[in-house]
Amino acid sequence: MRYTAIINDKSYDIEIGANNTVLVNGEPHNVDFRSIDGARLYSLLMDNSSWETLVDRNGDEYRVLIGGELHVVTVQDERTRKMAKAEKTQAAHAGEAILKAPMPGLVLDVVVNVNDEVTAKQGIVILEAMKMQNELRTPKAGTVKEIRVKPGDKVDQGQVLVIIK
Amino acid sequence: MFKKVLVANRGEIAVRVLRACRELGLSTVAVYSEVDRNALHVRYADEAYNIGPAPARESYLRIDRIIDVAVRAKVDAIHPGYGFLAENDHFARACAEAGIVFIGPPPSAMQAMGDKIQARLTVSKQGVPVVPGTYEPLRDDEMIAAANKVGFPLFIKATAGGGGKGMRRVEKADELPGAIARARSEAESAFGNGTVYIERIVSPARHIEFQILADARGNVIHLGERECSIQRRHQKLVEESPSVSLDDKLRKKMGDAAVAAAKAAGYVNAGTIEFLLDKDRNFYFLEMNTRLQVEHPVTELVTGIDLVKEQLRIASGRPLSYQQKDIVQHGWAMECRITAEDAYNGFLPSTGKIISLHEPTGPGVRLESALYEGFEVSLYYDPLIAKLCVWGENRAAAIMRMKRALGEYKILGISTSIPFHQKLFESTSFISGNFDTNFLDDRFTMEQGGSVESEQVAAIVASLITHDRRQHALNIPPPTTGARGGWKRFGAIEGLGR
Repeated sequence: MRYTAIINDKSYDIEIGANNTVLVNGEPHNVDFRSIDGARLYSLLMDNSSWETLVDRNGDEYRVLIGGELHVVTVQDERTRKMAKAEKTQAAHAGEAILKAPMPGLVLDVVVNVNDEVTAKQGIVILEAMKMQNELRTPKAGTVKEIRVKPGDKVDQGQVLVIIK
Repeated sequence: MFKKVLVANRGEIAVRVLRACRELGLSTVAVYSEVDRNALHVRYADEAYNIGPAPARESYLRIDRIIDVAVRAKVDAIHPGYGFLAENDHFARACAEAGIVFIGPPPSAMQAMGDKIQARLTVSKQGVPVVPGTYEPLRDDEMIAAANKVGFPLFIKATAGGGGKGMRRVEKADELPGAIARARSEAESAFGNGTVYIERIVSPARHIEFQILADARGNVIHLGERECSIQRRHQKLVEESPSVSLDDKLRKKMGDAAVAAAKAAGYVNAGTIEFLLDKDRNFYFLEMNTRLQVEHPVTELVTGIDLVKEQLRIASGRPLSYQQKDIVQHGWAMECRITAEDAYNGFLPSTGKIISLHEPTGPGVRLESALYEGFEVSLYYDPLIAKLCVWGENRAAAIMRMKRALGEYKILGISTSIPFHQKLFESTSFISGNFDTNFLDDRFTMEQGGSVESEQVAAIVASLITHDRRQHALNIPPPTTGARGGWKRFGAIEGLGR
C-alpha cells in the first residue's frame, strides 16, 4: 500500500511492503512497529534505531510527539486525496458568526441578551478557566441570535456559546 | 512534637506533607472533596474525611468544615500546604481558637505580609528596597491619578494576591478602568478581597527569591536563593537553585535583606522573600510568601534540609536546627512544574483520565506527584499535577539529568507541559543562563517540528497507523467498545508468527 505523508509543505512517499519493509521515498527500511499501551504510545525500531512516539489522531491528521518535538502529519492515499479536493470546493459559510469556547472552563457571566446589538470584539462572555477570568469577544458586529449557555455552565473546548447574525 | 497532623490540601503537596509526617512518626489526617475520594492523599493518610463537593469554595476553602474535622479527629496541628487556605489569616485564627496549632506563621505576620500593600510599607521601613508604586488602598479615580505618576506600563495587582491571580498588565491610560475592574473582580472571586495596587514594571528583570526559616525565639536564617525567572504569564514553570546571576557578595546582601524583611514582620516558620533583580543588579522587594513554596524542593536538594520537617519542628515550639553558618549550597538543583496543559496548543487546560504512567527514576531524580493510572484530572483545581526535580554536581549536569528524566516521563491520557520543558532544555538561551522574566513570553515559541530524522519517523509512524487502520477496517468488523489501536493486535499476531 502506498501513502503520502505530508508535514508542512514536505511530502514523504511511504510504501508499506511485506516482511516489515517500508520504502521511504523509494529507500527501503526494516521496521518493527508496536503499540505499547493500546492507545497513544508506540515503539518503532527502524533499522534497529529505537524511537518512542506519542500519537493523537484526528481524522487523517496525526500529531506525532517525539522527544518533545511535535510533527503534524497528514496521511493521504488516492481516495482521501480526492476527498480533500472535493471539500475545498464546498461553498463558504453564510452570514452567521459563532462564538465558541476556546478552552474548557466555567461560564461566569453572559453580559448580553438575545436580540441585543453587539459591536465587533465586544466582550460578551466571561469564562473562568483554571486561573483566569477570560473575556470572550464577539467575532463580528451584529445581533445576538442565540445564547446556548448560562452562568455556572461547564463547557468543553469548541462548544458553541453564542451565535451572532 | 505533635502526635497527629491534618493536611488541609490535596494533590502532590498533600502527599509531600504527609510523607514528612510519616517520616517523623506522626499520625496523619487527610480531607477531601467528593471528586477526590480516590486521590492518593486520601489513601496515603491514616484517616480521611469528606469535606464537601468538588468546587474548592465548597470544600478545600471551607474553614468551618476543616476545623470541625480537626476537632473530631483530635489533631494537634494543621498543615495548609500551599494555595487554598495557606495564606488565609482567618484560617490561622480559627485554628488557634479551636486549640489547634497552625503550621505556618502567626496570623499577625500573615496579615502584615499577606496584605501586599502593607508588606511594601513594612519592609521599606527597614531599608529594604521596594518596587515603586502605590502604598495604600485607593478608589478607582485615585488609582488612575496615581498610575499616571508611576508611569506606564505598570501592573495592577491584588493586595491579597499571588500566583498571577487578580493581576493585570496595563500598557496605556485608556486600558486602566477595564483592567482595574477585571483585577478587582478576579481578586474578589479568588481571595474575597477586591483591593488592588499599582507597581511599576521593572524590566528586564530576574525573579530571585530567598527561602527563610524563623523560629518563635527570634532566630531567622535564609537558605539561599531560588531563580524563578522562567515564567509564562507570571506562572513559574522552571525553578533552580542557586542562580547564575548571583555571586557570594550579592547573595549575602540579598540574604541579609530577606532576613531583615522577615524580622520586620515578626515572622515565624518557613517563608519566602521575593525580589526582582534588574540588569544593573539592583534588587527590589516584591512580596513575601508566608507559606511553603511549590519550588521548595530545589532548596532542599542543595541544602540537604527538609523544609516541611523544619516547619513541623518550628510549629511545635522547637528552636531552629541550623544557624546561618550551617547553610551551604551544594551542587545545583532544578524543578520543572508539570501541568495538565497542552504545550502545543497555547497551554490550554487538558483534562481526562490518566491511562498510562511511566515515571522517571534513577540517580538524582526526585518526583513530587499524586498521579496514578486511573486518576481523573479535573477542571476544578490547579493544573499543577507533578513536580520533577533533579540534582547535579553543577548546572550543566543538572540540565543533562533533567533532559534525561523528562525523556523518561510518559503521562498518557492528557496533554501535559512536558514537551515545553523538553524544548526549553534544548534552548541555548536557557542552557547558557541568559534569560529574564520576559524570556518565555517574548523570545520563546513552541514551534512545531524538529530534526529531519524525527520528521521522517513521524511520517512513517503516521502512515503505519493509517495502514493498520485501513487493513482492519477491511478485514475485521469494528470493535463495539473502546478504540484500541490495531497495532497491538497486529503485534500479537506478528509475535505468534515468529
